[in-house]
Amino acid sequence: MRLKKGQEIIVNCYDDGTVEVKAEGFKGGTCYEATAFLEKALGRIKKTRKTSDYFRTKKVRDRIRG
Amino acid sequence: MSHVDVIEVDCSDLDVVEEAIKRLHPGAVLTRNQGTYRWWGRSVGDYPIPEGFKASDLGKCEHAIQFPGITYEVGIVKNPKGEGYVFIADFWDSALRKTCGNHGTLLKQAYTVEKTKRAAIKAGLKVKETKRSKLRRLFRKDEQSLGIQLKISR
Repeated sequence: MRLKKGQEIIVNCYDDGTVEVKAEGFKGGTCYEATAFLEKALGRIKKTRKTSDYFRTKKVRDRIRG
Repeated sequence: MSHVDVIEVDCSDLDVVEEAIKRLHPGAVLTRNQGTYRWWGRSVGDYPIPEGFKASDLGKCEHAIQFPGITYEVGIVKNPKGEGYVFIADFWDSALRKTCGNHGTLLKQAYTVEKTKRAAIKAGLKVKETKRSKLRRLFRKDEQSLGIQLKISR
C-alpha cells in the first residue's frame, strides 16, 4: 500500500463505537484501493458516499476520452 | 477528498483486544478460554438481551476481560450474526459501564483504534493519533462527538 504526497486517510473512532473513514487527496476510484486494507482489517462498509472530488475527476477523464 | 465510509467493525483479533483493554485500564486482563464471565447471574429484564442471544446464553463466553476493582467481567463470545466476536456484559454495573462505555462502546472504540494502527503500520504507513472532545462527524456534519482521530499518511 503506497500513499503519495498529499494523500491521507482519516479514521474517526467515536465514543459510541462507530467508525468513519475519509480518503483525501485521491483521484477517482483510487481512493477505494487505498482504503481497502482498512476494510479488510476492520469489517464491512455499512455506508459509503462519494464526494464531489470523486465525480469532478471522473468528468475530466471522460472529457479527455471524448 | 474522494469518498467517506462508515464501517461496521468486526472484532476478530484477540491480540488486538489485549492491547485495546490496556487503553481503558492499564491493569486490565484478557483470560482466554475462561468459559464464563461474572455478572448478576440471571436476567431480571432491566437490560435488554443482546440481539441473537437467549437468556440462557448469558454468562457463557469464549474468553473474558477483567478490570481491576470491578466485580463484573466482559465476555467475548462468537458473533451470532456474522464474523468474529462480540462483547457481552452486565452493564448494570456502573463501574464497568464507566470503563467500557454503555454496551461496551468505549471497548469497541479502543479495539478499532488499535486494529487500525496495526493495519496501517503493517502496510508501511505512518499514523498520528489525536483525541478530540469535539470531533465533527463525516456523514452528519452538524454533529460532533468525543472521539479519537487517526491520520494515516506515507
